[in-house]
Amino acid sequence: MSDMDIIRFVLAAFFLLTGLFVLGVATLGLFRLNYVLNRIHAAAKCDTLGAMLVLIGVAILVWDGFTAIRLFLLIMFLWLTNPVATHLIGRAEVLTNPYLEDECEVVEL
Amino acid sequence: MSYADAVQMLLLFAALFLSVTAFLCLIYAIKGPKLADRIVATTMICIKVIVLIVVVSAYINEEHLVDVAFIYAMLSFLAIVVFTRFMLQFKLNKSMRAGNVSEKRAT
Repeated sequence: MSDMDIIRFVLAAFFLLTGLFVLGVATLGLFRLNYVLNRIHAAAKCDTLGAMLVLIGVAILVWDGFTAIRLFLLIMFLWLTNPVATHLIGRAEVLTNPYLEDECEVVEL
Repeated sequence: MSYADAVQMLLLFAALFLSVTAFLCLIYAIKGPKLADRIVATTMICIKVIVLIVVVSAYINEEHLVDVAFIYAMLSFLAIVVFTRFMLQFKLNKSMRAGNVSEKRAT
């Protein structure tokens, strides 16, 4: 293994393992948190941070050609659309739950 | 241990870890008390499958499969939007049919 290969492997392994750690912690948070609006925090971390780190790690491994550009485009797409999706889940839960005051504090604007 | 062998081992470990955590999210989707919990678990499974497709495509050296992951990301976003719209309409119809709020059971 030449020097360039070692640098590439270490950098990609760092990003990949950090991303996998974040995904594992998000799964643990899904089980341990209390209410849906708290579990959305865990889902959002999984979406944006976990996927970004793992995809950057894979993009470093396949750096030649257009695949890395496509992976960055995928990261941008995930960052733009998944927060909207989790916001819609929270909105659907708040609008249809009649016993919201039991779970969390409601402030009327 | 050459460079290619080390890369294959790392990607295999990543793929196995992702599939184990996706299976745990599936267990939560079956167990979760309400509908919104199941939708949250489904989005997490969708994101993990997107990342898994990319990792497997790097493992078998077929780089054109990243487009499949892209299409799956678009489809999962569309699915979540449709799920939440359906959930809102369904629950509001149910509450209108059940009468006033004080007699309604917890949804």
